[in-house]
Amino acid sequence: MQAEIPRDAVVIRFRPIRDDAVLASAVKEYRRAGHYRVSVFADAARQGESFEAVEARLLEASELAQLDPAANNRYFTCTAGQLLDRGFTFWKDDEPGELAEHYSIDLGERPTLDDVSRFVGAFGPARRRPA
Amino acid sequence: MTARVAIDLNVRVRGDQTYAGLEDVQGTVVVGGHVEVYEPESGLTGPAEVTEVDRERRLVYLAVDWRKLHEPVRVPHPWLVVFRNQVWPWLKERGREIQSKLHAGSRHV
Repeated sequence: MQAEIPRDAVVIRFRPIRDDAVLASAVKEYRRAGHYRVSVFADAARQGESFEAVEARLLEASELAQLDPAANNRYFTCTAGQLLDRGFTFWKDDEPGELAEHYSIDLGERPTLDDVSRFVGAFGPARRRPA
Repeated sequence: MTARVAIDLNVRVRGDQTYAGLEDVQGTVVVGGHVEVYEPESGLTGPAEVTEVDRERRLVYLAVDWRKLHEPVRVPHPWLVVFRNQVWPWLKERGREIQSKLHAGSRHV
């Protein structure tokens, strides 16, 4: 089901982030579910919640918050609006037990490396975990 | 030997599980078997259990212990160990000797 998500929602993408690896992931998802989608974690800020606080909450939801902060350049962030502006849509897999913060981004029909670059290009440089 | 499976850290299916292609597997996977998962770009690694092998779609489903994923343990190259333990101390010692000789020479000028 296509998801409505606020434009200012925080989106986290962990590695892999290389174009070819992201495309390979989308191709595997096609094999599994019949659509070329890649996974991200996302959520909107609650009242008074900072971007960094949402990041921390998403890391907790992903169960990857334990990574060494000093070495943790393992994820990249953007806003939902940045992906929407590039023509991408957010989807929930609608599988039992799907994490509320987990979304799939549809890369379209038979995506190319250019499509993947457009997706990856929305994300900023690698982030450290908030202290 | 424990099989290794390359995964995408973002993918979650069936709740908290993930999946990979059989082409991402090094070794043999069986349902209920324990494997080591890793993410190739970051090297993050950790334990997982195989929950299903879908031979038709060539996919393997995994229950990953996400909280146990950790940074890769880097084993230094043997030559680096030799350099660090033997060559570098020797160079430092020779450097000190040269410095003290230069210092002594400058006092006689």
